[in-house]
Amino acid sequence: MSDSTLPDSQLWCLIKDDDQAAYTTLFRKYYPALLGYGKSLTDHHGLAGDCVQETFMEIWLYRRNLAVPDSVRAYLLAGVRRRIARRLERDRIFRHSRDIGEGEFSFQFTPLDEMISDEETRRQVQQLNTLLNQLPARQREALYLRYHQQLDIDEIARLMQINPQSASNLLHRGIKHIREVWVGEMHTLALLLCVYF
Amino acid sequence: MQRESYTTVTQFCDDPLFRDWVITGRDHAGWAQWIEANADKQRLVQEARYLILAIGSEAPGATAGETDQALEETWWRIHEQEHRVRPLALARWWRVAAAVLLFALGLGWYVSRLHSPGTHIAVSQPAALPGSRDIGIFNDSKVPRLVNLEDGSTIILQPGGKLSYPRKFAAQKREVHLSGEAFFEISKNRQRPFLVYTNDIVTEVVGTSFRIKAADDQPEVEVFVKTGEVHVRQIQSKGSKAAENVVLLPNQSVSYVKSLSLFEKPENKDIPKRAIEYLNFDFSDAPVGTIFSTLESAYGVTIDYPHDVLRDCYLSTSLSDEPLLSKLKIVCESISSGTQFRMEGNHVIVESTGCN
Repeated sequence: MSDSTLPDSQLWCLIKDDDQAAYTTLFRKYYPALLGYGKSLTDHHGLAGDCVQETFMEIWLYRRNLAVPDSVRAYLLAGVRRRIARRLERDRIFRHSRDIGEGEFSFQFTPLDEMISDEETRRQVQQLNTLLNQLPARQREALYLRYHQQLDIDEIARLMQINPQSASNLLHRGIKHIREVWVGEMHTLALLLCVYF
Repeated sequence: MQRESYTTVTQFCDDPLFRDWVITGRDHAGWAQWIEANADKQRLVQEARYLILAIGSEAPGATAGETDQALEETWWRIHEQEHRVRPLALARWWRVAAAVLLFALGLGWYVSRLHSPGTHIAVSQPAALPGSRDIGIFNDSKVPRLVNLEDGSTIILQPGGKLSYPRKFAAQKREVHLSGEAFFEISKNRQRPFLVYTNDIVTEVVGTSFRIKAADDQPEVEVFVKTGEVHVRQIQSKGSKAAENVVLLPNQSVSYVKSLSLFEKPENKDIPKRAIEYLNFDFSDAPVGTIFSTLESAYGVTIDYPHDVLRDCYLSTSLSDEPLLSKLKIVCESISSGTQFRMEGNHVIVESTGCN
């Protein structure tokens, strides 16, 4: 069994040399995250699982021809996203279905409750969380890729097929909007407190 | 540290150490100190902290068990895919024919998938008759699973094992694919050899019983023979030299080391206790009930029979080299001509008017 602490690039090189253990390590490391991402792109969870498997299949089948990616995580996420989009597109043609929401990012952020101890924090975080989940899909996806998958701006841009400036804008616009609404509410609260006490 | 110069919430959110502190509480004392020393950043820190807590952190989309199952399935599909492209190495004329066949199979596969989303059944091998798609079985239970094949052969698939086989075997040979561990009892047919493909090796027999251990995550594939003669060889990779062929006799086993692509020397092996190999199925003057309960525990089936009618029936018989269906047939015929059986899944129903 190959060491799970090896850097991704090294695992990838081992896989190119037919190392099945390295492949297993890479699979175990990324499958849960990729499935999570896949499920947020389609309600059809069987399809998501299928596309994640196909992304991994391709690595083994074409291991000799594949270059080592700069970021394995970004490479895999992009593979899953592309496959799901392609399959949904094909379904639309074959079944003449028009699921408008399908393929759109539907992930809902869940607050980190276990790190919250006081009521005030809980209330604030809850409020922010509600605002986050109301953001447009693409802004939510950018935030998810940045803070859940740890991708940098360039990787997010490549994955979402936009230029880096647009990716950066998606992130900033999302956070800016939330803070404006939120700070606004904090002020109202402060005013109320002044009136009543 | 240029942290003192941060002016936006985003800068804090993007700082991995800051995120780490908020999400896991790491270096709490250090951060408390820093915030105290940088009182002007308190509001930014507080907002960034709220934001990170509201965004949450990556929640795994699958458990370790689900991940390993998916890994198994992926190897399985890779294996299928690698097999499907093999005919392309043939002569040019054949390539065209093979491509047409593959396309037809692929189309059939795709259309069938459209109709059954979420399930995937292995696609048929080129050797199988068109239209007779393979049946795929994955034993996700904790107990061995009995699989009866169309030719009367029996396979006991161990937990975690996967098997695919055609609904109807080809005329010249019987081919199945295995990943994981299984015990095979193959009905004799000299004209139609029986072949078991695993990732690395192919095991060929005429009629016999043997066990294969071919777990994807193990470094070796093992074949152990109980009865008869078994030929094992490496699956040939693109135009390489003739594959090594190992002949195994009863009670011999051979291991194939995947990393070296080599067979170890065959060796005589002690039969594992409690395994089906250990049972010899030789009965002399045994009550029919004892024979049935031996079969029940060996194959993991339940056998229903009329206890009253068969109470005083005794048999002497040797059943070691037969698949389950043949064993049952022999036992029933030996009891009397008025004794029949039928199988419903893992359940055997015996009807009898009594013994001779």
